Amino acid sequence: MKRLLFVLLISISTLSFGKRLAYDDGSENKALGETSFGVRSTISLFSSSGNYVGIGTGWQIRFRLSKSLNTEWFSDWIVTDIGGLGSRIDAHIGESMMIYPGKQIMQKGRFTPFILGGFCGDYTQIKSNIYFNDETVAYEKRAKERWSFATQLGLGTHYNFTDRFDISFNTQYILHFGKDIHSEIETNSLGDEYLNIHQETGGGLEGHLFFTISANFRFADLIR
Amino acid sequence: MKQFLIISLLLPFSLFAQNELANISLIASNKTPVSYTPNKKLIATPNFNQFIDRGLFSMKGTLAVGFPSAYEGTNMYVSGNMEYYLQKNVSFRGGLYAFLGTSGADDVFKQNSTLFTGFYFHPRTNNHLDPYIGLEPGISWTQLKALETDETAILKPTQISNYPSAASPIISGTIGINYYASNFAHLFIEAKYIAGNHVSDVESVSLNELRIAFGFGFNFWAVKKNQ
Repeated sequence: MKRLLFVLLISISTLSFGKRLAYDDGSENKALGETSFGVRSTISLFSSSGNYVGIGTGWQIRFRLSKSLNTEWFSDWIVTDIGGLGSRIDAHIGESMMIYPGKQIMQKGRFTPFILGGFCGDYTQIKSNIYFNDETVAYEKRAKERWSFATQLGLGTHYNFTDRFDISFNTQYILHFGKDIHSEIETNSLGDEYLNIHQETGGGLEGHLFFTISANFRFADLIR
Repeated sequence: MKQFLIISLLLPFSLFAQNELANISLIASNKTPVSYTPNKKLIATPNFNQFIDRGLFSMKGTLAVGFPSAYEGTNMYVSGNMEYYLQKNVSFRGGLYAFLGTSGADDVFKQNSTLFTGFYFHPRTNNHLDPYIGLEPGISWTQLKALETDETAILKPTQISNYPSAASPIISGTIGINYYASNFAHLFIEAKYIAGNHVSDVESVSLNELRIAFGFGFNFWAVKKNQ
C-alpha cells in the first residue's frame, strides 16, 4: 500500500510538473526566447552625495536564455534632490543576468524569486543651486559631470499576475568605477549652507542602493 | 384575541406550506432546485461573462484635478489616454496630463504636464464593470512660475531663480473602474497618486499629488472578441 501511494505521488508530481512545462499544443516549454517589455520605477536609497532619496523612471526588455536564466536590458533616469541645495541626475543603461534558483516557470498567482547581477554604463551630473562662494566673492552655480561604468548585484522576485504579466521587485547594489565626483553640504562665511561639488583627480568608487518595481508583459516567444 | 393567537400560530404553517408548494411546483415541472443539488461542474469552472477581452482598444479624454501635498491649491489638467487590452486582464496604456493652472492661494508652477506609460491589471468580473490597478512611471515637464518684481525684491540672492524647465521622473499608482456600456463607449472614474520632485536652481518642490479624473471614453474592438 505504501509503495502504491509513493508511486502515485511521484506520478502526480511528474504529471503536474510536465504540464507546467508544456505549451498548449503539448510541446515542451524550454522558455528560451521568451521576450518581454516592461516599465520601471526606481528609488535611489543613497549615494555618495548624502542620504537623499532619488526617484527614477525607465524601461526594460527581458530575453530569456533558458528555464533558469533570464537577461534584463534596462535604462533608468534618476533625479535626486540634495538637501534643497542642489540636485543629482543619474542615467543608467545596462544589462543584468537573472538566475532563478527555485521556481523557474512563471506560474500565475505565484512568486518567482531571482538573483541578478550585471553591468551598466552611467552618466552622472551634480548641480548646485546658486550660492555665495567665499573664494570668488561672488554668487555662482556649479555643475560637474562624469561618465562611468558600474557593476551591480541584487535580489528580487516576480509576482505573476498572469502567465504573461508580472510585477517585479528587486533591490540591488550598484558600484561605479570612474572619475571621482562627489558633493558635500558646507557652510560659507555668510552662515548659509551650500552644496560644494568636488572632483578629485584619478579614479573613484561610488555605490548606490536601488529599489526597483517594474511591470512586464511577455509579448513574444522568439525561439520555439 | 383567541382568533388572533390562532392566526398567529397558524401563519408560520401557511408560510411553510408556500415553500412546500414552490418545491412541489418544481417537482411537477421536472426541475431541480439548484440550492438542493448544486451543479459542481459549474462551480468548478465558472463561466465568466466579462465584457473586456484581448483586442479591446479604449480612449479617454477628460478634465482632471490634482491635490498636491506640498502646497495649497488645486491643480487642473486636461487628461487623455489610449489603452490596449493585451490579455483578458492586462492592458498597456499611454497617457498625458496637460497642465492648465492652479486654483487656490499658491500658484507655484507655470508648467506641470506629465506623460505616463504603464501596465494595468484588471481583476476578473462577471459583467460590464472593469475595476483596475496600474503602475505607470512617467515624466513631468515642470517649470516654476516667475515671481512678480515686487516679490523678488524681498528675496535673498540665493532664492532668485532663472526658472529653468526640467524633466522630472515620476512614480505613479492608479486605481479606478470602467463601466463599458456598449461596444463603443464607457464611463470611468480613477484616482492616481504620483510622486516626484521638481529640481531647478533653487530649492526643490515636491510633485507629490493625488489626481482624480472621471468622465466617459470611446472604445472599439481592434481584434474580434473571443466568444
